Amino acid sequence: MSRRPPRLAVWLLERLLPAELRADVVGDLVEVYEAGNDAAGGKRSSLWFWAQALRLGFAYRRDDRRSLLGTLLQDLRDAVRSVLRSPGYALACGVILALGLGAVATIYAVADAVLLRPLAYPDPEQLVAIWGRYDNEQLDRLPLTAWDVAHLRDNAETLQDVGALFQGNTTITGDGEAEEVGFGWFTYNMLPLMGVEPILGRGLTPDDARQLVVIMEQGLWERRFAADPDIVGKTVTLAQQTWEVIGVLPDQPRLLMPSRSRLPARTELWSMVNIPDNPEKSGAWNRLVGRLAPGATVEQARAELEALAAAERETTPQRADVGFGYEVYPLIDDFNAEVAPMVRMVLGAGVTLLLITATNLAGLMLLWGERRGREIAVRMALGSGRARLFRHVLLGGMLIGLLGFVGAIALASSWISILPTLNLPDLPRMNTVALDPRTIGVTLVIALGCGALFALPTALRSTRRGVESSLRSSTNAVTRRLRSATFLVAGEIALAVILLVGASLLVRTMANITQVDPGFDAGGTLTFRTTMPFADLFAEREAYFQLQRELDTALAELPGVVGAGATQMLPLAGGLSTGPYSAEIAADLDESGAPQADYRVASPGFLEAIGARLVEGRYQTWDDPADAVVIDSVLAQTLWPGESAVGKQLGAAPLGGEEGSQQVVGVVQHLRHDSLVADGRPTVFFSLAHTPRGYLTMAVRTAGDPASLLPAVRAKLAEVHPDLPIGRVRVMSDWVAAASVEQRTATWLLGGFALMAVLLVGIGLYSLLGFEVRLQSREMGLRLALGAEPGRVIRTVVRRAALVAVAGLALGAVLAVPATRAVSNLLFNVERLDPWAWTGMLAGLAVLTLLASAIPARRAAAVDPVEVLRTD
Amino acid sequence: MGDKDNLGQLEHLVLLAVLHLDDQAYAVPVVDQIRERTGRKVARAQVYIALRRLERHGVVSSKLSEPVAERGGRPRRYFRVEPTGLALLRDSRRSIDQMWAGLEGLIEEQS
Repeated sequence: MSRRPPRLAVWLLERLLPAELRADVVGDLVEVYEAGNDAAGGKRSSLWFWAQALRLGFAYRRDDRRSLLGTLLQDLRDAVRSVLRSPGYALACGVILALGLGAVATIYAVADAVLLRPLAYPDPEQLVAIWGRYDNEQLDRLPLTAWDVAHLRDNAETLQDVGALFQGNTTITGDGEAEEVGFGWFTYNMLPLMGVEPILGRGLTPDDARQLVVIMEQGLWERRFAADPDIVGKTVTLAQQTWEVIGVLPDQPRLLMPSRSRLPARTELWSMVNIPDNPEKSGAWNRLVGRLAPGATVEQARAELEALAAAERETTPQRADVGFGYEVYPLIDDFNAEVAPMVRMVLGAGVTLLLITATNLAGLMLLWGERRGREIAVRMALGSGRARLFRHVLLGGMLIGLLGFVGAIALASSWISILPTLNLPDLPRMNTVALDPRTIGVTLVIALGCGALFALPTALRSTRRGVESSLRSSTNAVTRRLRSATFLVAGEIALAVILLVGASLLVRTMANITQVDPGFDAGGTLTFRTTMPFADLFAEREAYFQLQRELDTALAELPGVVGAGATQMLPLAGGLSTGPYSAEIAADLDESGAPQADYRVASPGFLEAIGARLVEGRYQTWDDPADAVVIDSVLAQTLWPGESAVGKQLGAAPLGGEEGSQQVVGVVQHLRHDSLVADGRPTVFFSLAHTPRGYLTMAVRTAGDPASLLPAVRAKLAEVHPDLPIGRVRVMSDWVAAASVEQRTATWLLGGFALMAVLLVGIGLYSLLGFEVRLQSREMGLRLALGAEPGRVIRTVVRRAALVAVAGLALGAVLAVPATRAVSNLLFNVERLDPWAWTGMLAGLAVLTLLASAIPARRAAAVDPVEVLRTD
Repeated sequence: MGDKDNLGQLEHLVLLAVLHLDDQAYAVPVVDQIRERTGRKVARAQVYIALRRLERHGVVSSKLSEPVAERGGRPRRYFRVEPTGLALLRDSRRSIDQMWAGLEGLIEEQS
């Protein structure tokens, strides 16, 4: 009697084996076991059975795993092969995806660095910018007084601390060439408030008030002082005074200036502004930064400050008159206030482009799926499982996605690397733009997702329908797919219309801006900044005027130079200086009521050097009396319409100049100071010969190339005075170009996107028509055989293209009307529904349709009827 | 199976064993055949896996018998070599023979 095999081992083996092998493999083992027991008397023991059972069971397990991996690898290999079988197609899809995704990844990287990423300060969400607001004068984001700093610091419970800063310029001399640098003042609590720690030395304490101590930024420390580790305690000469260095601030996080502060972003030296115990409510130049108390929100702070402002209006009549209020913004919004609309517009354009890319890819893959229908049917007939075929098609799609991803990252990183070389507007944090792992990850997911998603219809349909019908390729199914592809192409055109309209509007805007006459002839003028080397201009004004006159004369005498002069503010180069004017000789000019003019101070040679146009009278001279002014044509026409302004008395008073009335000696054509797109205020030019200004921009005009003047100018400056710095060297035409940099950048970006969209739409339309023509080649051949003119066949194809285009256009127009709002703030002298822009877009699309249908149409007309009939 | 076109040594042996056994080829006698004819102690589990892979690639086919009482009512799985298998065996043999040609004397002298 044989013994039975161990039951537990049998049970275990059954669990380990695949279901379909269970019975026979266990049976075999039992058979051998029992045969052994019978024949050899217990040689085959339970231990033997256990060992065999475990070995067999695990061998099958291992084999299962290995074959699964093998199948996957095999699938991948198959997918690569089938993609390589149509390399043109794979390349087209990859390129499309790479272009669209690359552009979007680049824009996302920029938007992330500039807009989305939190500021690099501790608890950045607690930081707020605080501004003043005059409701009755529609003015907002106004600087505040020292009194407001102390008032808010002491009374606002939603704010744990309030600090203030403002900025100017200074000149470093000694230790090398004289250099103008940004010089700022902040309250001593500013560094702890922002959470910025000096990397060397210390920050400020209340004891530093009125001491000549400075903190320097890392950039300046490295550039000018070779990162001297012993800089703390040493002295530097700033504007002819000796200051002690007490600390060095890190490059990151840097103390950034809120963008609306109208101050240069780069400040390299900081000193202390003291808020006295009983500050006055005058001198509103402080930019306030606050830190919210723990748990407080921006809304709560706004409400509390609104209440404080209301109390202010009760007690202070001047503040009641202007409708004074406080504004509170998260600091990051304040940084982004100016760039956000533009970045959002570009981001929107990027998303539109991505949609076009996706639509295009979907259409292409749908058509490719149709071509692959036979391959799939053959595989199925050969016994490939449905699940496996499904995987195969999906993997093919993802491979395309991978191809697109690699291209996109390559494109994005090269685009990001050329960003700094583009003349982009001064975006805060632009230097931190990079392709971070998150952007790369998101790009990969989108790329693979697109690939898989667009392969899905093919995968589903190919595996759903039976082998036979697939081999016969049902006409209905093809028609359905063709219809889907047509819808996709029409949708793509609709999206492209949005970009095209936006781009045409901006191109029109740029054309209009180029037509604007700034009121001077910018060609031929070189400009640079300099600073007069006097600690106290007013005390040393005679020496100052002497030096200024000497400088102007020396520069004007350089070979090739036709004029030279200085101003405190160059047109179109930023800065704000206004004052009241009146036609009366007003000794007590009322500051609040009078209309405002731009006040400019210029040396006698300046207007000529900048290429201004004299309308009547003459320019000032060094020997004019102090009250001689030049005004612009707008002011002349406002005050004395139809009369000559020369010789008239003008009520106007420059800061630090002679009080009261001025005598008009000349009128120049109106100059645009703030922007090319706004008319701007009327202007009064006071003479620098009587109104000293320390920080000046010099203009030197030549008949030749202005940039070539620089070496001679530099040498002459050093000759006149060794401590005259030279900085921000630019030809005047660059300033004019920079005045429209936002529109220009937007035009280039949107234009680039629109061009890419056009390219994509072209590819989409072309592949759709090409596919259709191939499908209908039999019909076309028959028609040609029956005597149809090739021209008729061509017309059929073109008509079809036009139909798709018109459908897309109609939908696009409906979408584009609201979408153009995104660019409306950049437009100049163009309506959102500008007929020219829209017509241009239409014409472009018509040309595109013709181009895209040309090759398929020719192919259709070239079908050989004999060949068609033969294959039938 | 090593790869698509070549037989591994064990697979070669298994296929020949199945042919020898004709219509009695199930795993137990296949193992015995190889052990008896070659004198080598092949592992049972390896033979099972080899048979499975050969079947997966269509080199052999199998079918189950009726339940067998002495196996606790469990069926046997009988294998048959398919035309592909015969072709592979022929190929394998030809390759080996061609490589052997001219070496018989040398190897025998040395052994």
